[in-house]
Amino acid sequence: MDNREFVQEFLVESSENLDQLDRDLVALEDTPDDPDRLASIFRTVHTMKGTSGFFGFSKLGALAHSGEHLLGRLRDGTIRLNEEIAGTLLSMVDAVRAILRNIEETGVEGTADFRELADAIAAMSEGREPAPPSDGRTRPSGQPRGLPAGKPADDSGRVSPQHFASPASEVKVERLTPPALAEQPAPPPAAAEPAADATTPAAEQTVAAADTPPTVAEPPPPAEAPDPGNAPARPQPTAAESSVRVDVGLLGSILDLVGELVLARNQLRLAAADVPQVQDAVRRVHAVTSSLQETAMKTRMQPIAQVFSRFPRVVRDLSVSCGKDVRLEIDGAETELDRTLIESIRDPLTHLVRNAVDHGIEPPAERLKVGKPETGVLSLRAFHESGQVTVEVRDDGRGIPVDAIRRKAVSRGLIDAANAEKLSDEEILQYIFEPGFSTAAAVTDVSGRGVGMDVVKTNIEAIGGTVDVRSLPGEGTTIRVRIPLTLAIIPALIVRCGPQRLAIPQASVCELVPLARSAADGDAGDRRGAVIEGLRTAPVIRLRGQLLPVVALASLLGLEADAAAEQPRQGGTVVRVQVDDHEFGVIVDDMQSAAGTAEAAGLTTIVVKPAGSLVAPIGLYAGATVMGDGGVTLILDLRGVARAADIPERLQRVRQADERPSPFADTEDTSSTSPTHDPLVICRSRHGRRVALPARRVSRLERFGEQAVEQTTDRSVVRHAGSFLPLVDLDDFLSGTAGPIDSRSVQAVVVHTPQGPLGLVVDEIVDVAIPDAAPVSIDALDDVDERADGPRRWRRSMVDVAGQAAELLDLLDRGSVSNAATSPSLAS
Amino acid sequence: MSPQPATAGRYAAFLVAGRRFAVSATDVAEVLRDGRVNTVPRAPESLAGLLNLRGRIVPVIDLKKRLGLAAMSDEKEPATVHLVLQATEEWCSLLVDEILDVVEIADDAFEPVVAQQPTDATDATLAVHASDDGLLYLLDVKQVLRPTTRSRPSPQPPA
Repeated sequence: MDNREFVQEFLVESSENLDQLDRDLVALEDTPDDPDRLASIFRTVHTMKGTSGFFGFSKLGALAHSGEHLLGRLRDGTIRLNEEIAGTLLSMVDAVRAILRNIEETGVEGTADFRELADAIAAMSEGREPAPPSDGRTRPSGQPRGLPAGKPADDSGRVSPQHFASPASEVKVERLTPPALAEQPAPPPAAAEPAADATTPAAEQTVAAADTPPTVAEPPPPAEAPDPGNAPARPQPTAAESSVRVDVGLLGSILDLVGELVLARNQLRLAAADVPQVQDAVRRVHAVTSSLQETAMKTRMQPIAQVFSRFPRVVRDLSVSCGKDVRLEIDGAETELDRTLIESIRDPLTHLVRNAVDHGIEPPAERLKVGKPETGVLSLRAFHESGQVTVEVRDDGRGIPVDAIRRKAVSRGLIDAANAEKLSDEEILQYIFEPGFSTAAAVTDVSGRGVGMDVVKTNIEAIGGTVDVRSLPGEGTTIRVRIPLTLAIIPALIVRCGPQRLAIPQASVCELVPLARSAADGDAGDRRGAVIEGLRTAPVIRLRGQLLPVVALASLLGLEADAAAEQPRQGGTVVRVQVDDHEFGVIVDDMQSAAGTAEAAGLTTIVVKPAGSLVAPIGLYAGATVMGDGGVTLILDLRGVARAADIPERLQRVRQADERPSPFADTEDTSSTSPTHDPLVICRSRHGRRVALPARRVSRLERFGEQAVEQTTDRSVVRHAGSFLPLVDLDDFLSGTAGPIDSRSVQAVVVHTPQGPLGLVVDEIVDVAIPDAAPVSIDALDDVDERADGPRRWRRSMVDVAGQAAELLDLLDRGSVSNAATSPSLAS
Repeated sequence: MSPQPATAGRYAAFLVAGRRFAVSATDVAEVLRDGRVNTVPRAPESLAGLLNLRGRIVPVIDLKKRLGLAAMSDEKEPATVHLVLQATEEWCSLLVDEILDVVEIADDAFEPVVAQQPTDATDATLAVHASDDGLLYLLDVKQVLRPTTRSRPSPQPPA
């Protein structure tokens, strides 16, 4: 064929159209009466028919024509879509795809015979079941649907040439047009006679015809049609003209050259600053270069929808063949990543999706038995996280049987039995990534042959990604694939830390917290910034009553002298970030504006480039980027930073403590006497007493508004987490006269007692600090103070904190606190 | 890079700490006199930093440190000449004291390096050529790009 280029375009366009058809047909199954979608499908098939006629691909044309006819009937409402019809239409899409593949490879349509499929389609158009071959109807043999795509022609002589091999379209039209069509407006002539299209120079004419069939009363589908794949804009019929294929390497060099141009522009701006005559031109060069850079960057990025878009079809076909009922939810399909990476994750993700449908989600009956809704949910989510793209495949199925994996791992000799028992479930789950590891009871043709997860892992790791599995028996499995953003473009926060400029991926940044210039500022309240507390090896800041572990970036990176590291840090900013499930703060000096750009200080869009094989092993950098001024800026790998700073462990301690008494604790809860280094929450009572409470006894600091506090006759409570939290004024508590509190808006220190939480109302939280010295017991004073009628309710000692004495209250002594405060006879 | 009999190759010679080294001339992408190098905190000592070469991020290797010759150097000034190599898929820049010349050397004029006690320098050297001006060491660029295997105290992030 001499018009090879046009055929190539046709193939590209058709393959896009077929993907769209897959999506639309699957979506149509859920909403069979969606006129917009039906119209869109109809148009797509119609366009395909017209174009194939133009190139003389008669088989293709005939197939598309039969499909179009069936679709026309659906659109008119003469027949209604059911699973069978959808299946047949999808088979048609497959058949078309097979023919196109043949055209791409050999230049001709090939010998595959789709007559039976066409017959099945024709039969459906008439609203009857596809007739078995023995059917004595007028129509020639119909075959059940579901024919394999690309089935080679049998040479039994049943192939009638005029079906598809002949370009004489009139013949097919007659054959495939059921009598019922007579009641319907006939398709436009141009459409009915693909051969006639050959005389029209461009496909648009066909398109124009398709847009105005007499029966299409509906407006064209809105751009934001509810498409489960959230696919890019519906491929327009002119797709072949609106996209070109460009070598990726070429795009890369354009990007690099633009980078050079940006540098030259910046130099030009400096040089031209004193030359008023060229200011306008320089400004224009500046603007143009900026948008050129932006545009060039975008060329490499493509939405992950390109991969996601095939999954509705995959899931639909699989769930039908497995007898499962599965709803696919797709989120974040617009997440962009480098197109080379898109290709690399296509197969691994498909495998994960198939696994989830085949192994994860239970058959409807089983789901009902365990009290789950009949329809299983498979959710696909893509999002940017800390400079990476995370793709999550989550199902609500039966989960991975950890014990079976444990046994299998032992029986395969991967681990000995004693060790297997010691490993956590999470660690055991990692064995599914071992080569040839499968626990599927039945080997199905879908998945379960034991090849799979190891291949997924290998493929993902080959592009520098990671795979992570979490599973809860009975509740489902979540597999997270993280792909590095090599070459991706991300918004990042540019920060300064000593002499270094560093980029922090914005996706991980939660907020910026200014640090107080001096400890005095911090004491004056949170207005002037947070104060770093805790030990030098495990610093924290207090943020809305919670302690946040922070990392001194300068010392982590070795950017400050040891002497400086010993000094308490003043000034600067804490960047609160979250990676995985870890939340922590990174202390930096300040935000930097990206030189040479007009963007707001700190935030800029960067192109992530690999920092190279010498930098990667350091484990602290996710890559590097070239800034507007030509300098190289390293991109922090927050996961690596967290690792290097022991954040997971520090957080775990905080969290464990949270489940028991307090998030403050960073030491073992060994005895009720506070070790010297235990942090203390220092507060001022309403009568001005300075009272220290061991932080590990404190579960949180909270301010309750007027509405929250409710009064009973003898006490005050606030509603919290589904129950009531008793409130006691700290002064009353200390004097043993607990009663209702008078003020309605209160600051409370919520402490844990064996009987539950108790809110101690204070005037102000002064500080959280480490005591200067061990507490000095004043039990002797207690003995003097003790009144005959009151049992001793606490143990008091005096402690020096921040150079001032405070009463240290050890609440758990003798457990008597609970009697005093939380028992019903509160006031007695 | 491996010498083949009866042919000659062109080599770019340069000085590092008073010693003469060479790489294959075809590996040289360009020579820069004043590249702006951004340091990489916590990097091995031999990695001087990263250089932006027209949008390409290139690691800069301080050859003096990489080859363990820093102590022997008379030069007070740090090396500032970038010899940018495209020997491997990942480009790199070697910081050298001075670029000498491009010389043609017959493959059989190279001799294997025999070292009583291997050092970073001998590890990274493929062969040696005795010329009129003295010894010329042929650098193994791939080896240079690998982090040194010899123990040398390098700052580690605090655990």
